[in-house]
Order: sequence, then C-alpha cells, then structure tokens
Amino acid sequence: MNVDNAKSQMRKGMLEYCVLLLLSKEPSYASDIIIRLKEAKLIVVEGTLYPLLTRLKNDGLLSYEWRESTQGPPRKYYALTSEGELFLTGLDSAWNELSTTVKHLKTKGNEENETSTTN
Amino acid sequence: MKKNININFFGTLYAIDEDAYELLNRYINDIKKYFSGKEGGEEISDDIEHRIAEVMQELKAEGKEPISIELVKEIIARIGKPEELCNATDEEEGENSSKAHRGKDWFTKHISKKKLYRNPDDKMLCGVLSGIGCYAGIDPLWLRLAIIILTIVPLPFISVSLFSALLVYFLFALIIPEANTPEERLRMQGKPVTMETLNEEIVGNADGTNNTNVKNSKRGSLFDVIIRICVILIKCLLVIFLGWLLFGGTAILLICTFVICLLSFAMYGHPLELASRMVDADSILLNFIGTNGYAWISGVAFIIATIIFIYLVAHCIARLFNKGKSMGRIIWVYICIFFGTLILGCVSFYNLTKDIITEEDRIVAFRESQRYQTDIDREKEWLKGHGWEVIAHEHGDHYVKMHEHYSGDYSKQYIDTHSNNPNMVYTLERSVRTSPGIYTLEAAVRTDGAGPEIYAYNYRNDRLSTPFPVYAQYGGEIWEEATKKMNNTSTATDEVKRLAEAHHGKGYGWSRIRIENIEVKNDSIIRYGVTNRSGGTGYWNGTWFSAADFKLIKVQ
Repeated sequence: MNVDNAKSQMRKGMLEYCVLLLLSKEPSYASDIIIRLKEAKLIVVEGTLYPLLTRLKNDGLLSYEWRESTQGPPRKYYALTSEGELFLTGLDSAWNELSTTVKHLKTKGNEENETSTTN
Repeated sequence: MKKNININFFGTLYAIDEDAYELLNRYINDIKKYFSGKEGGEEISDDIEHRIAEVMQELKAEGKEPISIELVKEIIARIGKPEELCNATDEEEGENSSKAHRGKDWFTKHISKKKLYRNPDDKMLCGVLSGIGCYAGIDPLWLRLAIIILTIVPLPFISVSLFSALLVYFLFALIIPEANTPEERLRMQGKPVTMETLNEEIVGNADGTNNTNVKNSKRGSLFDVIIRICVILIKCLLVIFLGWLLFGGTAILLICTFVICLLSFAMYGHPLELASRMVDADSILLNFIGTNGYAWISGVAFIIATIIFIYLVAHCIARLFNKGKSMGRIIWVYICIFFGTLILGCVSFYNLTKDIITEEDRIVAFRESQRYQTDIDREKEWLKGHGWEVIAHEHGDHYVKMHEHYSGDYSKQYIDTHSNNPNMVYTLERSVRTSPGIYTLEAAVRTDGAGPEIYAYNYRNDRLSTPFPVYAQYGGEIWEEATKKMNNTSTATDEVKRLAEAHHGKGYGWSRIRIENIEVKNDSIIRYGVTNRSGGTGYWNGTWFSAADFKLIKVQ
C-alpha cells in the first residue's frame, strides 16, 4: 500500500515534466498524449490529463490550435510556447540534477553494500 | 429485454441501452458539476466530454453497439470518476484515502441528502406512505395500517377523521414528487449519490433483483389481501371525495363568477340608477373604474381560479389511476396562482359589494331629492285642506313640518318654515264662517327669534295680534305648565305626562297664545292668520317658526 502510494506520488510529480517533454518534440492532441503516457504507465485514469493541460495552458506554458479531423469533431493540438520551452529547460536541468543525485546515491550505496559484504 | 435508444453525441449517432445512457448522462453531468466551480472548469469538462465521444467512436468502430451499461462502466473506469481527476493538478495532496474521503464528502454534502419522494416501486395508491416510510425509516405497512384505522374505525367524529385523512393524502399525492430517476430513488432511500450506488441502482433495477420492495408487495398472504381490499375501498372513497370536491368547488366558483356578472349587469341596467349617475358626470368615470373594474377583476380572477381548480383536481384523479405525469415543483405555481386569484377575487368582490352599498345610498338620496319636490306639493295640499291660504312664502324652505309637535306625537303636522335668509316672509291666512259673537283665537306657537305673531280681524277690520314668545327649540310654556302639573299627582294625567316628556323631557319650545275679544257681527266671517313679520311686513330676526292648533273659542 505504501509502495503504491509512493509510486503514485512520484508519477504525479513526473507527469507535468513528461507532458511538456512529449509536446516539445511535436504538437499533439490529448488522445495521443494519453496513449504515450499510458504506455509509460504514467497515468491510470485518462481524465487526469485534462485538468493538467488546462492549467499549463492557463499558465502560458502551452498553447493550442484547432485542427480538422478526418473522423469526428475538430481536435485541439497542444504545443509548447517559448515560455514553456524556457520552463522545460529549467525542468530538464532539475531532472538531470535529480537523476545524477539518485544515480550517485545508488552507486554509493552499492559500493557501501559491496564493501560491507566483502568485509 | 432492454430498451434501446439512439443518441446524437457530437454529431455521431450511437445506439445505447437506456440504463447505460442514464449512467453516461449522469456521469457527464457529474463531471460538469464537479469542475464547474474551478478555474477553466468548463473547458476541462468539455475536453473530457470530447474524449468520451472519442472512446465511444472507437467502440462503434469495433462494432460494440448497442453500447451496454458494462461498456459505459468501462469508459468511466478509463476516464476516471470526478473525484479522481483533480488530484493531479492539486499541488499538495494528502494520501489517496483522504482524497477519496474528500470526494465522498463533497458528494454527501452536495448531492446525497435524504429527500421525500413518493415511492413508485412499492405503492398502493400513489406511493405517499411508502415514500414517507422510506424517509422516516419506518415500514410503510405500519403507516398504511394507521391510515386505515384512522379512516375506517368508527370514531365519534368519523366523517372528520375520514375526510381529513383523505384530504391530507390527496394533498401529499399532489405535492410530493414521484421518484422517477435512479438518482431520485437513491435520494429517497437516503443513499449517497455516487457513481457506484447509481450504478447499482440502475443495474439492480434493470435486473429487478435488488428491489426488496417489489418482493414485499408480491407477498400473497391473507393480510395482504385484506390490505388490498382496504386500498380499493379507500380508492373508491377518494374518488368519490375528489369527485364531490370537483363538482362542489367548481359549482361554488362558477356561482361566484355568475353572481358577480349578474351584479355588475344589474347595477348598470337600472334606469333610475343610471339617471342618478347622470346627476354628476364625474362619478360616471369613477364608477366605471371602481365598480365595473372590481366586477371585471373579480370575475376574471374567479374564472382563472375555477380553471386551475378543475385542472388540479382532475389531475389528481388521473394520478389516482396512474395516468398523467407528476407535475413536480410546478404544482406550487398552480397552487399559488389558485390562492392568489381566489384572494384577489374575494377582495375585489368585497370592494364591489361595498360599492353597491354606496350605490344604493345614492339611489336613496336621489329618491329623497325627488320626494322633496312632491312633499312641497303635498304640504301645499295639506294647507289647502285645512283652509289655509298662502299669502306670502319667500325664501322659506318648506310649509309644513312634523316630528317636533309639542304633544310629542311625531306624526302630527304643523305650520312651519325655516330659512337662514333674513328676508324670509311666510304668511298664512284663514277665513272661517261663524255665528256673530265675541271670540278668542288660540294657537300653539314657537320661534327662535322675535317677529312672528298671530293676528285676526274683527268686524271693524281692526288688526288684532299677539306675538310669539321666544323659546327656540327647548322648554316653552306648554312644557313648563305640564312639568308643574307633573309634581302634583292629582293633575298628572297621561296627557300631561306626554307633554312633559316631549323632546326627551326638555320640551320643544311651544307656548299657547291668545287673541281675545274678536267681535263678529252680521257678515259672520272671521279672518285670522300667522306671519313671521310683525304687522305682516315688520321686523324678523329668527330663522324659523312653527304654529299649530288654531282654535276659535266663542266667549259670548
């Protein structure tokens, strides 16, 4: 239970970053993002994405345009704004920092473990 | 077997089971409600709705039509329940469990409150008692028994108890809405309205399994049979009662309308009354706005009240036979309009009758004014009949009066006139044939100012006169004498008593005066009279005078 909880907390923290990351490659519409996120098991229920997208848009990090669809109603295609890109770079560096820290911690821990077992 | 409907969702047609549609609709509404208060909420719920359409399109492409309730449940699980959605955006949330709890709180706070509905699943008549039972957490059986006892057991005031019970039931059936949707059914039972419970309610209802009430009413015990018979009896009574109500109420209301119309017609048809209104032109318009306006308002109000009344009672009867839809809240509008128009009608009617009374007064006043003219003629007639000749009558308002005769007899007439004009002249004269001799003229008189006198001519044509003593409207010598006589029991006859008690014991101011030694010779005619002016043309400083009881007494 605690593990699941911790996992979901981690995912939640990651979600915003991942969405921005996805959109930095190419503008896409919500269902595409959902598919990608589901593959990565970052979201459980699809509805979670929409409040997030709206919030990012309202914060000026994202913008969208309507595109006609061959099937069904027109779709909203989201893309990063310049402000969003700046924001993403910030997050990128933060992530890199985090991952190095985690990696560092892990290797250090491993070394310690190894030393303790060898001893 | 399931009912299947077609819906148009963002331009695409889907075949969907009815229960599935209900669930889906409810879900979308919940989403909308949930996000409605939040920033950008409309956009979010709109996006989610689009997403649902997309998922349904996928299903359609896969050939999974008609969409069943299971598929809708899958969609809901995939998109997420409203309370699951916002967590991702809320910056710092607690644990999962607390989130779920929060969601539930929101539901219990806003949606799931126990509400009073009529229960359509377990009803005998309209489901009123069943609904109340549900609300109060009592088995409706007990309520039914109580009502049956109240209705049927012979109490001293049986009719009162019977009809009040029926009337209350009838009112409740009219006012309490029926729980028709799954949501309403849940609220009736006091269960929280969440996706799960709603699901259960819809699915359960469709399968007809989780409805314990249905099982209840299907019991075939003897007891149940008795209840059913009672229900039929009550139903009959209720129909009779409502029938009478419909008939009687409509009759009363129609009679009111009719009476109003009749009254306004009657008031405008009377020629005399019409003439009286012509007397002052201003009042014609006033009358129209006042009287006729009230007649119109109350007439129309009563007609509206009648129509609504018929509609409501007819609706109630239809509902007894499970025909016609529940009106819901709109019934209050009807009830308000009914009582509003009824009150308006009654108030206008009251004003109308008030106006009629004043109208009658006007007629009376008009007749009085007409009678006045005829009275003057009658007065002259009376004078002529008594041998009086009017020598002069200027500015005086009348000739003869009654009500203030010294004897206290209201019906006795006497010579009288009145005017505030100082130039008033009133002189009457009488010639009487008698045998020769010496006579005394006697008369009862009164006045409020000096001037009046009685006079007589003797055979030499000398004018003899005696002025009136001035007592005005109180006392007088006649009264003074009578009151004196009253002190002595031997002289206190009935006649004296009457004189003393005239004008509530104050007297009317009458005195008896005389002219003595009127000699009559060969021609045998005696001429005498009464005037308000000393010497026939002299001074006068009063406003009225009276005279009566002229008597010629032969002395020699």
